[in-house]
Amino acid sequence: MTGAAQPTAASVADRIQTEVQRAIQRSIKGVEYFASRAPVLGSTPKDVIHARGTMKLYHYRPLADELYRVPVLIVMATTNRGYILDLTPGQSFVEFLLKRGFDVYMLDWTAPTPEEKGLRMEDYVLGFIPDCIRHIQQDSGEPDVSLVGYCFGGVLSLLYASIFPEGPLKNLVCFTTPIDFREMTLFQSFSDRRYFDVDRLVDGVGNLPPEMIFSSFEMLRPATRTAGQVQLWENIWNDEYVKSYRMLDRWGTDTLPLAGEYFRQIIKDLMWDNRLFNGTMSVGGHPADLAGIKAPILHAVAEHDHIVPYEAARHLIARVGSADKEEVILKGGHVSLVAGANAVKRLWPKVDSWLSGRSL
Amino acid sequence: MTSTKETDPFGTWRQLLSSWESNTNDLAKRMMESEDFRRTMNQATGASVNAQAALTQAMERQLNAMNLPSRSQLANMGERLQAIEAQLSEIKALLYQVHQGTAAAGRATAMPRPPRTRRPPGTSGGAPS
Repeated sequence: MTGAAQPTAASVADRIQTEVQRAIQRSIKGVEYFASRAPVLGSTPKDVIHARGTMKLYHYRPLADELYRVPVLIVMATTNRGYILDLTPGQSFVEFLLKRGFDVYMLDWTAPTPEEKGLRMEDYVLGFIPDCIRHIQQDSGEPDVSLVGYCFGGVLSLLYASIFPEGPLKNLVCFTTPIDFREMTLFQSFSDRRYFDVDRLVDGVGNLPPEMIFSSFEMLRPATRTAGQVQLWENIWNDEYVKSYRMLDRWGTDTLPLAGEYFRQIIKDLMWDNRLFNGTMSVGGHPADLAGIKAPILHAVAEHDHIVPYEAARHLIARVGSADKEEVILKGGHVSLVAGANAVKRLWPKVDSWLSGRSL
Repeated sequence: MTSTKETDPFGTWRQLLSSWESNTNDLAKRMMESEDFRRTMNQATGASVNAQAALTQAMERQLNAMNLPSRSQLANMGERLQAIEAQLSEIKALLYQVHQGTAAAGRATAMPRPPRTRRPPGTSGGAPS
């Protein structure tokens, strides 16, 4: 064993030659990086079938000859754009579902305008989601709909599911969805009620600026961007790495503002009072108790999620009232759970196998 | 047998980078959880919001004096454009429905969608892709 660890002169020479070639490639590709256009994202063919203010409902054109009966509505997190789930061909969760025979819709968000600063949680849970479901029922001709919520899109889906337990929700899939906000320790630091005056902030700015949201995400791992840029330079000879970096970097920096009143509610009801976890949450006067959820539910969480730590997500399955429920813990982080090479191998097939039998 | 890792002269550098990232993030996390950080950060945020509001008001007055549009006026124009886009989207959606020869319930008939009869592979009557 010890002998095997000794590098030979030839192997070292090979390695140096490889590194020299990569150094040359870095110089060439480094220039190309700045001169070339970023990859086109979210290009799976789709139609906007409904739009209202900050909300957009897409229908993706089917890619299979035969569809499962129940359509799927993806509810995107309100802080980010939905194209993380539709990056490029072969790297698109949406495309994957379409090819596996699902009829896919997406509830995506645009930046709320200053006039929309008064949007509240009830506008999202009692307005936008039911509105989209009605359009999907009309468009597909099917009474049932499955929801797939990512991050805070999962929270909105949970609230909807708990308020409307009689349907038309058929299945609920949540990706890395927090319910115990005490466990989001850094966000708790940022929003400590003793020092953070959310009323003054919202009254002053209207909608929460995207820069503030981006900064708070960045502060969770302040060294990661710098390390990522060093790694990019090291791997700039590798086209696939560069493509992946550009896609994810663009998405990560493409943060949306949050409607002011909605943000105020998130801070007070969820971050401060932890109402979803405590069972005291209500939306527009409707109690939203997780125990009221009856639909089959799958919760996929990431082992190394720095945005929604497992501790913040782990009680979901225990709290819901569904008889058919499952939690799956997968390797990866908050984003790599749903997009990228690992997601293709881990999460996407899991969603397909779980949802297919329940979409008949 | 010699692994690539064993002959990688840059492996140490990569390990250093990785441990720097991990250590810095851990250190920052500990710092950000401290009482001092919570207080200082939120004081700074409050001060920054106030300063920004005052600056915005001053700039608006200056731009008005120079007969130039302010950011909020441009934002209003942007909103009007967005509203026009939204209306175009609605028209497009309506045209899409019309193009599909909508029945009373809005079902597509001219360009029929695939049948909703699919079953998971391995089940009776399944439809493997």
